[in-house]
Amino acid sequence: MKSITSIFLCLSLLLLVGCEHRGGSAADVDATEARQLYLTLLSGEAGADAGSGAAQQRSGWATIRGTVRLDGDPPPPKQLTVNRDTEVCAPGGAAVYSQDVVVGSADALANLVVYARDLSNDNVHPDAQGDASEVIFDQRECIFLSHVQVMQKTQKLKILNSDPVGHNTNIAASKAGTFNQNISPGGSAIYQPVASESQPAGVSCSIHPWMRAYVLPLDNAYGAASEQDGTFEIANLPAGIEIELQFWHEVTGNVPELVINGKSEKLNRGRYKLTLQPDEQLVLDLALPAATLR
Amino acid sequence: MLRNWIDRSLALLLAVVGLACWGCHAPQPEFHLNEIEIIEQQAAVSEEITPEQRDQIATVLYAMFGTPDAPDNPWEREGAHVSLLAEQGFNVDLLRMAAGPVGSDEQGNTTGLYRLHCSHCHGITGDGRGPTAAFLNPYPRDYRQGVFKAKSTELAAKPTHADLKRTLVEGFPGTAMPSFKLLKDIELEALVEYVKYLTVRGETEIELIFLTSDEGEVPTDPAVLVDEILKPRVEAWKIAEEKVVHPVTPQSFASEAEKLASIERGRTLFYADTGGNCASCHGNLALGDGQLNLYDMWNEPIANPELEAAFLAVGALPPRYLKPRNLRQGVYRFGRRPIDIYRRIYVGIAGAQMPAATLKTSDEGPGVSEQDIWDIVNYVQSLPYEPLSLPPELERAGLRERL
Repeated sequence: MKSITSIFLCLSLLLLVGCEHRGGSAADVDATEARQLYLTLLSGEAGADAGSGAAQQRSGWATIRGTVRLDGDPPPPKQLTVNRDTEVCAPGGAAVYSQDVVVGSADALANLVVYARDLSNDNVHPDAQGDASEVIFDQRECIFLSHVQVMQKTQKLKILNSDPVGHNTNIAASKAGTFNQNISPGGSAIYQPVASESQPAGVSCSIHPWMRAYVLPLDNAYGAASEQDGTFEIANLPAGIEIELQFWHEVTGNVPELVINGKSEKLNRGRYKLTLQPDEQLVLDLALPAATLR
Repeated sequence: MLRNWIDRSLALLLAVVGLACWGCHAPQPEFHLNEIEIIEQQAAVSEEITPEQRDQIATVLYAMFGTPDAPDNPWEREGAHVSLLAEQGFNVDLLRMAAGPVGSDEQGNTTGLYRLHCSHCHGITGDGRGPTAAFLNPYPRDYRQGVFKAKSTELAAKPTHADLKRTLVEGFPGTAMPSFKLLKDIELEALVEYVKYLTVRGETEIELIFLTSDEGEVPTDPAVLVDEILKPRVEAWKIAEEKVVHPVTPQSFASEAEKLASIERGRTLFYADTGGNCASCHGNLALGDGQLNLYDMWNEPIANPELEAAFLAVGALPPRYLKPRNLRQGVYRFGRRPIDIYRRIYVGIAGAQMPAATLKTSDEGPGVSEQDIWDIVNYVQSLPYEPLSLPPELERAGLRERL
């Protein structure tokens, strides 16, 4: 009798111990709450709403100009495995290195992406939207010449192949539209985004898999990637309202930490809020701690 | 002594009955959260999605998409049964035929079709991880990203209704996906509708997880859930018909000589950098050995060295490389008609590495013309019959002598 009772007790204890609440299983769904939500979803019941809090009034336009430096030693360069079309892609047997961290003179950091998030259309300057021009995106010696390309979704990306070998340019953009086209030597193809992306989408080549670049189609012109000399500029930003800048780098993804005008800021999801004054020419002196790149 | 024995037997009987009751309750199949997407998003923003947020996501999905037994929630509003899925254009009668446990209705039609025919490979949630999935090569399709390889439409577009139905009717030769030709037409329609439902549900879930991790809270505003998330995903299925690829130049040859000439041109185009550039991945002998270390979009995230262990721990299948097709076998998964192979070359293959051809803009310019693509199609279809693809003559002769 005693042994069977104790076995029962052990089993029940095991059952209790085994059931931690992880969340998200069907058993945890509150049917009442779900029904309430369901009824609001039918034919748009709830708030044709007030928007996000008090509407701020835009009082003009402003510009942000910046320089990005790398604070500290860059990580050692990563050599890429070039195992195809070597006469074109590694001429003279030269080693080919990854472009994930590009540091110029005076520690200038290229390819740090800055863009404004979630701005409604009335807060976008007419000159900062609707650009329908072509943006050239070339590849030579099996390297994408624009490592990070920021563009407006209304622009067309003209992809060129200036190599004597074929490349297929594969853009993994789930919102702007996936694209994968084989481009003959000297040929070209046009990529027309259908929407913006929330962060830069990867560009690759299946034939030469070490090739890597990024493209970021945005709803407006409020985005830039820092140049070889570390500089960037975003003009005609709305002033008088709070705007949120997103900082992104290919190694960190969302930039976790940045020194902005001398002050070290820990960024939540790489974001930084600020309000510009009308006609302000804000200078942002940015320094990325080298530790974030390891 | 006897009393002791009776006590023990009673206790044992109670134990057995208790265990039997506990064990005999067959749990209802449930949708489970997209754990792989959760891990990915958590890594991208370095923030956890909390158990409360997971509950909220499950609640939103339950409100919008119901359960495996009841896809459209039967909650009534003002006495009338109104369904969100019906409002969005789903045929809920077909969904109900496909959903639920296997059985039959009053007319004798089979219900629970998805669970009867599909879920053992594709999973209850449509995640391609049913009980048999781990033993299959290639893995069954995960519907939740909304990307399908076998279709007649442009790369970024959804398959048409006819594409999905064709998949069920023909199956995929060379894979574990069988033909369901022997099912009744209404049953095939029900399964196609249910696959679309699981796909829209999966895509909605991925967007919910992304927004939760990107913004720190689960969206519950109907304007966001229905207008921004659900509607565009349903709409993409509706406009798929407009995105079908129809060649302008027909495939035609008036004589055997013309066909052979086309095959010759196709052979040159297949291997030339300036033509189709096919050999760069399909290999110099078209055996599919040109490029061996790339992934498709379903396996690539799992192969991330930093997260692979976490993914496998939540049940992801071990990532496999995507091999380019061995064209000498004559096995064409997504259709063996010339138009099917034409579409593979013209569009590429969504979710995989196969690129689209770039059409010439002028006669002398780089790229291929539509006729060039037909030439490549003819060459590809002739590959299994080339001498290199057939058993060596000597070996065949030897066998006959030995017999």
